[in-house]
This record gives sequence, C-alpha cells and structure tokens, in this order.
Amino acid sequence: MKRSPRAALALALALLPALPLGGCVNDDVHLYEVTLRGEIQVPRGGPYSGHVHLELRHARSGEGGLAYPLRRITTIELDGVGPFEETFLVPTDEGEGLVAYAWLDRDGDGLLCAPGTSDELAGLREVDGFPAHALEVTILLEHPCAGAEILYAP
Amino acid sequence: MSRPWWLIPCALLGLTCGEGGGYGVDYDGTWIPVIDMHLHPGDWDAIPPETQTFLASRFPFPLNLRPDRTADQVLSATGIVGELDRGGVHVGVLFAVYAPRTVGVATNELVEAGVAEYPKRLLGFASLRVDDWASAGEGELDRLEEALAEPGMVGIKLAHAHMHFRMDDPSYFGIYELAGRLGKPVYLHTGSSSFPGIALEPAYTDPAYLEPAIAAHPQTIFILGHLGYDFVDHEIGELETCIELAHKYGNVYLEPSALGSEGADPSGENYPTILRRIREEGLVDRLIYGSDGPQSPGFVGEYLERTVTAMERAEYSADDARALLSGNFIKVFGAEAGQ
Repeated sequence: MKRSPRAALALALALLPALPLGGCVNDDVHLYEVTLRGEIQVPRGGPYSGHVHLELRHARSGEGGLAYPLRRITTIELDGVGPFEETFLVPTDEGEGLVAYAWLDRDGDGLLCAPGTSDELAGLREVDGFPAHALEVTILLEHPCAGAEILYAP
Repeated sequence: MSRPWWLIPCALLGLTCGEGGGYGVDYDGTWIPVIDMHLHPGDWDAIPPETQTFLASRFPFPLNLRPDRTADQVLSATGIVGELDRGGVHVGVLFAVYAPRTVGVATNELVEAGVAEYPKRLLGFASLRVDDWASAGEGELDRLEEALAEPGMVGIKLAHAHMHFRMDDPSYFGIYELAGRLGKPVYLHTGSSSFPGIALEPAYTDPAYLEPAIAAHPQTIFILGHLGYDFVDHEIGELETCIELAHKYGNVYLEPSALGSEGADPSGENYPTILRRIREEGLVDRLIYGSDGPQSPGFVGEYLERTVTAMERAEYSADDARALLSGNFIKVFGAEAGQ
C-alpha cells in the first residue's frame, strides 16, 4: 500500500514532538572477568574421544513475565574431557548467576546429536559463588543428546 | 512497481467486489477467499528491549519515531482486523507466543480475548512456556489444554528456536500427544531467524530434527512454518527437508509465511522458486497460507500481493491458488474456519 504524500507528511508532523532531543544514548557494557577452573568428566568407561563444547550462560535474565533462564554468554571448544582452566568476560547487566553446560562432540561434526546420532553426551552445572573472579566447576557428561534447557531447573 | 489491477485487494480500494463482501483476490478470473493463518497480536511492553530496538529499526519513517504507538495500534485485535480489512483477508489466525528471550510474550488470554471480540474474523492458536519443563511441564500442558477448550482456539503454536527447546527432545513430546488427542494441529517455526536471542543451532531450526516427533505422532498434524527458510542469509534453507517430510508423512503441512517479504527475499526470486518446487513435487494440497503479520501497517495486504505474484510466476492454477489461500486451511481446520 502506498500512503499519499500529504498523509505521510501529516503523520510525520503529528509525531515530530516525539523526536528525541538529546541524541543517542550508548549504554555501557559492564564486563566481569571470571577464571573458571574445573573438570569435564564422562561416566566410567567413556566415551573419551572428541572435542568438548563448553557454554557459559547466565542462570536468570529479564524481569517479570519476560524473565527466562540460560541466556548464553559465550561458547568455547576444549580439546577433550579432563581438567580445564579458561577466562571469560561476563556481561553483568544481562543476567544473574552462572551456569556451565558442556557436550562431547564424538563424531566431530560440531552438532550435538545430528539426526540419526544418539551417543553424544551432555551435562550442566550451576557455578556456585558468582560473582567472584576465580570459580570452580565439575561437569559430568551423562545425558545423551540433552540441550541445556532440559537439564536446568530454574 | 506497478500492480495489475486484479492483484489489489478490493477492500484497499473501498470497492465491493462481489463474493466475500470485498475480501479475497481475483486470481486468473476466479474469486478466491483468503485466510491468513499466521498473525501476531501483542503489546509493546511484553517485548524484550533488544527486540523493541530491532523492530523499531524496521518500521518506516515516520512510524519509527514512536514505535511503541505504531506497534500497539497494529498489534491489538482491532488493529489486526483493520489490517485484514485493508489487505482483503477474510479470516486471520492469532498466535499466542511465550518467547521472553526473543519476540516476547503474547498470552493465551490475549489471543482468546481477541477471538472473542471478533469471532467471525479471528481464530486462535494457543501456546505454553517450556523454560522450566522438568518441574512445570505438566502444569503447562494443563494450561494449554484449558486454552484449547476456549471458543475459536484451533491449534498450537511452537517455535523451538525462539523458545529454546530441541525439536527432537522426547521430553516435550507430550505437547504433540495432546495435540493429537484434541485434534488441534501444531504450527512449528522452522528455519533461522534474525531476532536477537534466537537459538540458531540446527536442533532448534532444522526440520529434519522434527522427524522423530512427526513419526511418533501420526494422529497429529504438523504445519512446518516458513519451510525451513534461512532468514539470516535470505536463502531457501531447508525447503527440501520440508518437502521430503511432506512426502513421507501424510500429517505434514507446509506454510510459507514471511519468507517472501521484501526484507527476507530482496531479489524476489526465492518465493516463486519455493512455490514452484512445491507444485513440481505435487504438494500444493499441503500448503496453507500465512503472512506472519501484522509487522508494520500494510504488511498483511502487501504479503498477499507478493504471494499472488509468486503464485503466478510459479504457474499456479486457480485451483492451486484456492488451495493455498484458503482451501487447505478449511480442509485441515474444518468448519470452524469457514464461519
């Protein structure tokens, strides 16, 4: 539909008072450095091979009816299961709490359980103690094909 | 771009166009009623701030100066019926949405109220929250069933990418069981999206991951929204997977909303290509029309025009066009939709 030029002009004039007079406002992003140390474990007997995808998420974000869990902060790839130590920058204005979620990419396709695959394991743990600059977590990968959402109870 | 006169919905011109009291389109000399099965009501305050900014950037000047006012005007039931009138659409279907991290929340109650206000023009799809499924899932299913018992509530809306749950996770299959038991089709967003906060991994967007659910629930109708379109890169995406699923399972239907919009298909080539592929595959009897409006003032009618143009380019017959624009919806949803 095309609006007539006169109608568009009238609408523009009617809305002119709504123009912000102060220009743009750029929000600061507040980042909090966290060094996370811990271990990715699998059940006794493996599987052990494959890279591990480790995601750091906020436990809670939003307010009221728009509150939700597990806002993603970042994802990194580890060489495999076992001990790790990584440093993250956590945006403190976007949520509260920290959750670590990981899964083992056994076939190396970058996908947790592509169609027809059912033997890739995932695990999730809430990271206690945030905010603090040094935190520890151990994640046991024991749930086949599980997304973070089904492993976390807000 | 000039428009053939017969593409312009009569309501837009303020004319009475015979059958349908001004609604519908004339396609190849045949008058066809139109049902738009994909519309989003809501209010500005129930949209996350990042998405408010995103939406405001898409409103044309001068409507972007007060996006809250623009949104509230077009997202109310009255606003949506106004958009249907302008676009020449007989009946619209309102979707409830519980996606607080992306598009926000439009409650079942909001949709029920809209349907109650315009019972001859609007139907509704209910939805549910899934973000505390382990402890709240049973309660959410009960709430969903209650919503579906309300007049005019004819289906279930899901969007795994927006709601962040895997398409193949059997923990959520109770939703499909409920849908089958109640005879309420399920609409599923497939494909990517450019909204902030979306889950873009294939398990949340690729319809191939829906196959276990489709296979396990033959009594449930699955409507694959957007046909797996890639809204990030404006590419056809997972269309062939949708076609394969529709061939393999009689309970799969296809819905081409939003993918043919000016923003999603800038070249104008993808939409007719998609419709042509579906015709070539003999699947026009599975296509159900939706726009994904209202988005911004005029979008509902504009998308209908683009659909008619795409159908013409894809060499759809008048019977094909009728099937897409209303016939298949009436076939799936029964007499409720024909009121």
